[in-house]
Amino acid sequence: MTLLETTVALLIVSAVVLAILQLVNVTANQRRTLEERRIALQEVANQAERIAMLPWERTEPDELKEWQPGDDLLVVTPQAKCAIRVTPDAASPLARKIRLSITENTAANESVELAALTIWKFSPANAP
Amino acid sequence: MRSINFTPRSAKTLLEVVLILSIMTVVIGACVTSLSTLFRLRHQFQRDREQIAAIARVGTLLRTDAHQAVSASVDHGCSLALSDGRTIHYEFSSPRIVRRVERDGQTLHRDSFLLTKTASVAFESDGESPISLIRLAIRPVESNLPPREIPRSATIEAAVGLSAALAQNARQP
Repeated sequence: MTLLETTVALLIVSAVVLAILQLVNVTANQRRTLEERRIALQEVANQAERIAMLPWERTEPDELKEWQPGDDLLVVTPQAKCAIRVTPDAASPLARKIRLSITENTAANESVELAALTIWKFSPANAP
Repeated sequence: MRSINFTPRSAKTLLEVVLILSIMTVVIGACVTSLSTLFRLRHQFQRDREQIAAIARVGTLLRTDAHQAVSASVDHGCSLALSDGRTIHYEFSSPRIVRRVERDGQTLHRDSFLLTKTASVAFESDGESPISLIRLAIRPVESNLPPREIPRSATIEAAVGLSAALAQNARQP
């Protein structure tokens, strides 16, 4: 094996190693994003349980607007914003559509939705 | 008089050999490091996937059981009493959460959800009956674990007696 051949081999292997390192970097970023979304989804599911416990009167659009994120979410995304949007549904049966969402601002100041969940709360007046 | 023929033979100098060996060492080192990183990542992803699947499964079952329950207690693990006489126990026996469905002291069904040895599990309760909130918190045992040993943290909340409350609402005139 000549010195030239070895140098060419080194260049090829260096290129492959660089590609692998980039792949590892991308994978690590994806893993972090996945973890953020998992925690965010867990947070909206927990909030949905809390809202399910509330009586109908306490689910007015003015009553529910946002909630304080849990510790798990604050660890992975300290800037997360948790919002609730309540939309009255006039159709029968009388209900309220409640949309829970968690967003965060990226470095480019764009708002990215990490997780969202829509639930319905039905009025007790619907009962026969 | 006989003449001696010298045929020219190719050879490498000591400097060339040393250089080639050095370059090959670098190449082999880079390959070994890359392969080792890839294998470590694969192992880590597999553990993550198993943990996330176990947490998702236990969360789904805990919520379903809690919604159907009429009462809950979180003294030793979590016990949920159902209206049909069954009792569902959740308890942590490191490294797994065990779910047992019992009736009259007899075990009808048993599930097991594998976590890591470095995970701790706590059950808490908020609110008063008939509707209360139970919380399952999965946390690392120690905070100074190496990153690859840190288990996935999770908090799963479930409303107890939600099905009964909804049914009661539906019966109200």
